[in-house]
Amino acid sequence: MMFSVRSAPAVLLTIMLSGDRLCTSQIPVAKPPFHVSGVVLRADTNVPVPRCHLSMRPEGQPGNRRRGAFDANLYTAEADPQGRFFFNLPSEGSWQLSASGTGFRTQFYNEHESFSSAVVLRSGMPTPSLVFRLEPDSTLAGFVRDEAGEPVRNALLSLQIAAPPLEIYGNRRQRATTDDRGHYEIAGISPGSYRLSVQAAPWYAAGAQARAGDPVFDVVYPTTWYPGVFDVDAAGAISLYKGEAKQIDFNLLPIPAGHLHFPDVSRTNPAAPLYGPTIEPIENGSVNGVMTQVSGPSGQVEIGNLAPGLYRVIQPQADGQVATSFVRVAAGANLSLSAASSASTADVTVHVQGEERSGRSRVNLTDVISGAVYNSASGGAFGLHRRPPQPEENAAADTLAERHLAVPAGRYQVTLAGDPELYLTSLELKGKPVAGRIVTLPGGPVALTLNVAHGRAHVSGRASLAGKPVEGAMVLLVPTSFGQIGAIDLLRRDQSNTDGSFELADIIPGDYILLAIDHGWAINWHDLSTLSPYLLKGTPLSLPPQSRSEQEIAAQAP
Amino acid sequence: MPPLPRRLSKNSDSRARWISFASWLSLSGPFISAGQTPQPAAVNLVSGHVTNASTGASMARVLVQANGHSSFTNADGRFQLSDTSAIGSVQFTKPGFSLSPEQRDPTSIAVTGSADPLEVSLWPEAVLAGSVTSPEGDPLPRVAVTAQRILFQNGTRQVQTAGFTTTDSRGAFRLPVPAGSYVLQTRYAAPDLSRSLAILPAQYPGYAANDATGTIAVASGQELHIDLHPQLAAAVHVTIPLEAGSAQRSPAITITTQDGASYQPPRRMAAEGLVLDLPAGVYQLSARLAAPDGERAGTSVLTVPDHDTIAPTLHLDPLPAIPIVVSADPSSAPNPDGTTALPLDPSALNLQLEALGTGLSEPGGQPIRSLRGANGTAFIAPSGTYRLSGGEGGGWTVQTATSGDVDLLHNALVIGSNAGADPVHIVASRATGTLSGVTRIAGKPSACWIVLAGDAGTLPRFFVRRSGTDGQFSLSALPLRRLRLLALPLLSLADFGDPAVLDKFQTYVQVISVTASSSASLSLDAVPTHELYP
Repeated sequence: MMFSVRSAPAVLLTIMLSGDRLCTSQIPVAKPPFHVSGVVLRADTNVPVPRCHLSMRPEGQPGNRRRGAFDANLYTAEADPQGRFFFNLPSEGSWQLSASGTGFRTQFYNEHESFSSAVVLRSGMPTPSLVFRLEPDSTLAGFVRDEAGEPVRNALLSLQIAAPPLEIYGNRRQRATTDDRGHYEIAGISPGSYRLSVQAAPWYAAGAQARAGDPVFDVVYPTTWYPGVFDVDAAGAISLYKGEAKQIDFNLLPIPAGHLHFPDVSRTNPAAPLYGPTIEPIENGSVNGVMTQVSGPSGQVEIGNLAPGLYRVIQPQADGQVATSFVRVAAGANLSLSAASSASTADVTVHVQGEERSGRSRVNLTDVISGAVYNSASGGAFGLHRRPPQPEENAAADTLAERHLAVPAGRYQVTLAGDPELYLTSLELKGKPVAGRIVTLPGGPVALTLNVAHGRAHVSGRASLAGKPVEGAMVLLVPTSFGQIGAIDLLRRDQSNTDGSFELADIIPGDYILLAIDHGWAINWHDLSTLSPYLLKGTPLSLPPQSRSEQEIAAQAP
Repeated sequence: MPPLPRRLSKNSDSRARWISFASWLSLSGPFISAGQTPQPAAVNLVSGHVTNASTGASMARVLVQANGHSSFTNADGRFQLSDTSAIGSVQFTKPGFSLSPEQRDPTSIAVTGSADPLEVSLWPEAVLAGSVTSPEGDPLPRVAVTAQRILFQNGTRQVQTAGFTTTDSRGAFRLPVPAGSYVLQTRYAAPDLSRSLAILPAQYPGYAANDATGTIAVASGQELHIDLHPQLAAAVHVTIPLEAGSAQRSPAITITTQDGASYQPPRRMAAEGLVLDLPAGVYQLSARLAAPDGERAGTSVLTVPDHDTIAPTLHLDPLPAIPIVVSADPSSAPNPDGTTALPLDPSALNLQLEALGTGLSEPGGQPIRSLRGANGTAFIAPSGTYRLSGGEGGGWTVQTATSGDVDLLHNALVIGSNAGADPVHIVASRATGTLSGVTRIAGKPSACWIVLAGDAGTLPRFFVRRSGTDGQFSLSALPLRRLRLLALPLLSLADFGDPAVLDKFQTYVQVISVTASSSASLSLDAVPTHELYP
């Protein structure tokens, strides 16, 4: 089961165990026919976790995420001093179980990465008795000091998983800011390997540098990665074990600030308000204390106090539209940007061939180096570039299948999102076929064509070991093209539930090998040579469009 | 949608600073007659020494700025700046320090024309630190903690949120704040996936002690440790049907517990009415709604069982307007053109109602100002007990204030839920006098803040003026009454309307009866800084 909801407030029914005595405080439920019991153990020591908090919600019914809001489907319980818990539930089905406690962040049952096992209840099935292994939180804390050894306030610490950019899904970043002592704490971290960065502005620089141009004050702190390096590629990995608390301190060093000059900010109507360019850090950059100076009625604008990094620049045009470009600012750089300068910006026109006019699909371009995602959705995080309508474009040609994105020139993975039925079959760049889904986008205008088709496939089934359902097994659906250059199919994963069931939806049609590995979550599945022995024992599947396949598979030992 | 371009501002940072400086100036009111201060000689070089006001130690690496030039103080705390243009003021910046112990502003001091080196003291901020734990002692992470500051400006009590943070994984918090008087509060936290019980609001000092004196006093450089222990309770959903016509809007709800805790519970609008998240208990519920026909309010007693429930329909009635009727004291001089002084606009008197004994419930216990409408000026206030404050403006001061038989200068104004519109009658006087003189710090004529406090039962309770950079002052439009004058080297936001506060500085207080023909020239020695902030 893959989950996405990580928080949902409110309680309808509270079952509390006081000592060994069950006491209830609840809305009357007519003879709940289903029971779930179990014990919560600390994952590293197997010692019971007393009085932790548990909750269950039917799978597939998203909780109400609004704070203080009512969630009628949430059932909660407190574990007793021996860590034992018990639920009465009103209906069969798949239930999502979570637990948390002091020093234990909210975790789902059998949680691995973004997967967990649903508790499946069916009439006639035995009452599940579960062992919920709760991982103690890891914590990072430390001090951020400046070049004089004085505390840096309001520094922003950012912790992210140390993994290749294309393998980081979702926003798995945790943040913290320093207090008046320069101290920070990032708590509730799951064990793993991480990179830690800090962004801050010298307290004395904002406001002091603009007029003076004094090198002592015209400075910034570059984004600094543990262990004190300015380049993410040189960042050290921080390994955190279950329950581990580490102290990591930073000492920030100032470097010359970058400046962007805009020589020809203009306005169409002298009486209209003057709108200037805006900038946004994309990677590493920081806009703390940006100074914007204007001279002359349609004159020059300078943006200073820029830390080295990549920035998106939005410049209003005389016709009321905006132009988006990207600029990389180095330490102490003085760059002049005219509205037309976009040498490092790929102005991408995306054609989606074969899409019906659902308008729901979104094209994502993921930078294979930085992991930054640019998408074509309106109001998306990055990269939206609305081109003014061209005279030759009539209403019929203005289809939903054409999108415009501005992205930094570079290498990108192309994915489709938004319409689960639509899938990518091939790519063309400037009219020429591209192998796979990685494209290199040069600066300037470029046409990218996505050939798409309809009808994704669906695979579900049950994994067993020695004839018994296996829970928590890693289920893999591996394209036969896995590991080949130019492969367009994607490897898919799931985790088996308490009855061994699994489900993989929205699969790109093609040829695959289906397999399940018991206790397989430590296996390096990215590596074909590691996967090969398992693939030999897997189940080959040919999945045509819109197919639904039900499979019973035997889990393999790790 | 393309992103909206941001409108250019020349320098947003300096604009913020300008606003702060302007608000600082506004504290001083109309007081100094221009032209009485000699024009200072042009200064092109400033030097000086910066010390920590709390420890007396020299401060290195303080940012000193003037005329766009910047410098750090050296290891001995010394600095020097020069410019070809005259330097009018010097700005000092250091994280965690300010020129005033009670305020983060101002950040600059005026250069008086003397070539003498400046001796500058920077005051360290105070810190309110502590922990939030359950009654059983378990740490409560991710709980919002606010520091509500109680201060007095021109005789009126104000409540300001001076700091906000959330507890860390150990339930600990830190709030750097200016020196002053505070109440610490934690907010209601609803149950969620990580906690099955709601965290109820807590306050330190406790709700029972919540009056002007029930506060934490924290001094510059001091760090106080305060532990809060909110109660935990299972919460249920209470649906409150609304009357037809008001269901389109969501009224603001404040509930008060039997032990005086007052807070706004989580709420949402549903088809059935307003749904609140509350633990079992008995509450006083107050609702307010800004309706098209004016403000409406209602109160009720809400009994919440240990399960979801539907409460009786909430009735909201228009808030009664309490008219303010002003007449001129017979001794008031006629207008310069010979016409009678009336009608006087009551809103010019800056009259306000300060709620008494209702806690620091949202939105922060701010005083209620009089409102000017088509039918005149009135107070529109929910039921409660209030003290009248303000009472000065436009050259007028309040002489008497009554509501029915109640003397509002000595007694509270009680507004019931079904209050009749008993007007507040004000007699104001425009008979004023002047006072002039010089303020001195350590015997040297210097700019000071001058506190002028009336006797008990007068409005305004006190007000604050300022002398010029050479210490000279000429205060006009003063009420004809007995005033106690106290000069301060730094602006204090204490309640100088409280005789006990002024009595602490009895040595420096001068009592003057202001008359229309007063011509005395006063010499006020300012309270030494070490006595003002021992």
